[in-house]
Amino acid sequence: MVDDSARSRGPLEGVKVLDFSQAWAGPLCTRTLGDLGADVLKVESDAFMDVSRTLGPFPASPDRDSSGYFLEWNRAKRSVSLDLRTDEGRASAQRLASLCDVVVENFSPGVMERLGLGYDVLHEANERLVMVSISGFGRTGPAKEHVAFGQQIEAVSGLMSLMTYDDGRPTKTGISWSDPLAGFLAALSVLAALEQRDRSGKGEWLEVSMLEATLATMGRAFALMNVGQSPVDEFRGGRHPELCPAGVYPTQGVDAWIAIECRDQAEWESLCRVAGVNWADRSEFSGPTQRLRNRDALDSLIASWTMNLDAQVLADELQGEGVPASPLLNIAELLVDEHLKDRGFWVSVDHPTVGKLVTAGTALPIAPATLASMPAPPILGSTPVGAGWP
Amino acid sequence: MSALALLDGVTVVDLSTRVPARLASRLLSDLGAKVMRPTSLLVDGPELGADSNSRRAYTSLLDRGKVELRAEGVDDLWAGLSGADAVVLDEGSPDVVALLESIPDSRPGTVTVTPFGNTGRRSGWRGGDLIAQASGGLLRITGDADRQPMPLPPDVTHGVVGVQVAIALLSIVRNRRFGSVDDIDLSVQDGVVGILEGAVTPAQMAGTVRERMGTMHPSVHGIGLQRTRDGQWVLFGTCPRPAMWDSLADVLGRPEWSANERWLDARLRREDSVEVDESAATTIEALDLNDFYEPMLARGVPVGVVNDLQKVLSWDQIVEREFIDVIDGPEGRRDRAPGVVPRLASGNRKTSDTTTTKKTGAPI
Repeated sequence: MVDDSARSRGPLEGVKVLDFSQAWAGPLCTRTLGDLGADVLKVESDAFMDVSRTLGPFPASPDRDSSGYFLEWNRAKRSVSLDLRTDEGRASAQRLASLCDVVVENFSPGVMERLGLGYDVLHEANERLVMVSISGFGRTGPAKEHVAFGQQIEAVSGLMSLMTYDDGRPTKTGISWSDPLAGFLAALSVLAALEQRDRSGKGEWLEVSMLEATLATMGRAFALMNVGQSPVDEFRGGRHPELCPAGVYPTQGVDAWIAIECRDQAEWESLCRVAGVNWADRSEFSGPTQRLRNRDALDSLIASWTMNLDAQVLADELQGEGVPASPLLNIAELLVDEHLKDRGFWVSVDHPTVGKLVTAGTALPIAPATLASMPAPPILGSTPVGAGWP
Repeated sequence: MSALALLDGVTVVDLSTRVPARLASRLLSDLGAKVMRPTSLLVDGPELGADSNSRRAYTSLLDRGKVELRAEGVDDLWAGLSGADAVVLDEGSPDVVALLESIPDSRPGTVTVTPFGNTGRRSGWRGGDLIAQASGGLLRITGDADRQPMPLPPDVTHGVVGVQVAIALLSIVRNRRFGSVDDIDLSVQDGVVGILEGAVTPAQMAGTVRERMGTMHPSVHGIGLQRTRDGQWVLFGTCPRPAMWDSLADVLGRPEWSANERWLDARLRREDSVEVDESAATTIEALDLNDFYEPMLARGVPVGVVNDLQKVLSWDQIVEREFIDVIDGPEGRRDRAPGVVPRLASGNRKTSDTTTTKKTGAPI
């Protein structure tokens, strides 16, 4: 199915992806595959559309094709309308799966099988098929049927326990953290399974659990536990167990902050030079052990220094002297950030109803040919069934 | 450690010293790639910590499954690089550009991971995980609205970037087979800005700028974060479907919540969230976790107790799926480590052809 000629659209040029996923983790996975050159066909229907089409915000009145949440994660795809409740819809889905390279889905475990779209069925018709299933807790185990949203995964995985204020109240990340982790791990799984398929000629069915994905990146907490320390205590109040100063400090303005992260003695001494103070000479702050022991006192001193300064100006000055620092940027600031513009980070698309739209960029390179003709997030059902993969 | 053999035959040289790239090559090792690391040439990044005990415990997790690339001299390193499909570098890596360019035929491509990328006006800026959170827009929206921003635990943010680095490495491996050599400049900041949920298009379309809102969702709401009589923190989901809300109200013995039309709609509950949460607090404070938790889960209510890691490791969901690996750690310890993601999906298919067992720890 894949033409082995040079790939001007990226490493996945020629790879056909049938996308049954919804919300964030699955759509991020397939958007990533599309960014890398794959032809992604998203399966929805009027009766069962991607839930993110309903979440907004909308530029005018609510409209399933212009939900901001949907637009963020669904560029680089086409959309075919198939009602999977009908024999006709399921037959069309099976036919498309027999012609494609990859199926991605994030239904609850068992739904694909009940629809007649389980891997055993699809694989029998297409032994080269790679399939990735994303779920909250995994396809097995006593919690496999539990309803899973990213918020709950953060709680039960232990991540929230590592984000407690000094009074013990936990908080969570500003996003549904487990979704992008699981989405990227699913995309990685597809690439790895395609590697194997190119050797063996056979596809594989892989699963990504959002719970396990979340735990997979908590290595430092595991390491602390392995040496008998409590990660909950070590991270309390957003503290770093090894580095000091490393924190968030108030700056001039409303809700304006700077992050400063001194990772070694040289960076600490440079910070002191920029601040024009002799803190590095004081015995309680002279070495890393002393600074960790007297962290609260040092953080107070730094906060009293930064609070009347402009965050961006101070970050420029600190970075100029080799001290890791950055203002806490919000999305409005990021959208006009000159460095991100320099790097061509944002991805513009021309949407049929919304018009020109900037979508979130990616750390991964998008081939110029793909970027130049980047499909906008699709109008539901805009690709006729027969034109999916004729 | 159980590893998949999907990447049998793929060789990656890891010259990195920092977490994102080092985790990326570990993920590829988990998937069966041969990852070679010339440990003697590399110095751990400073953010891994000064305490040697905890640093070794951490690096043994980051490097498990990798094999030592014996590099007594330049010739050894050249030989290692010549046999690789891809190389991962970061700002602490040795300069190997000349060595790579001296390789005849098709040299391996590289992924170079730096805090702000190799181009752009801030390309030389420094930063670890905390700076990634700040410059990537994540830290500004994390934490309670009326308190200072709350950093994510160290290196969790670097973790999501590490997965993207791993994707970049496999992109290189794939392209190389078709005759092109890619060198990818991967910015940690880009990798964080790219995951800001519900931020980019709302800022353009509605002019709304996401700010901190604690455990709340921007547009829908359940009954928030509550504490039980027995001291457990519980995060209740947004209950976007009315049936979920009905079940929650029923299990808590508050049928009047279902009868309240404003509260039946998750969007309207978000508008009334202060009142909803206060009402819920009086109910939850009078209950122990066991009074409602399992019944809610059984009825499809999204709800999660705030576990600590020890509880997670003994949770039957984790135990039954055998997700935690026990590996040879430093000082003769048997250390616990997160298992491999993804895994083969269960079913009737034989998995012996695609599963391998590695018992290796980190290279010494």
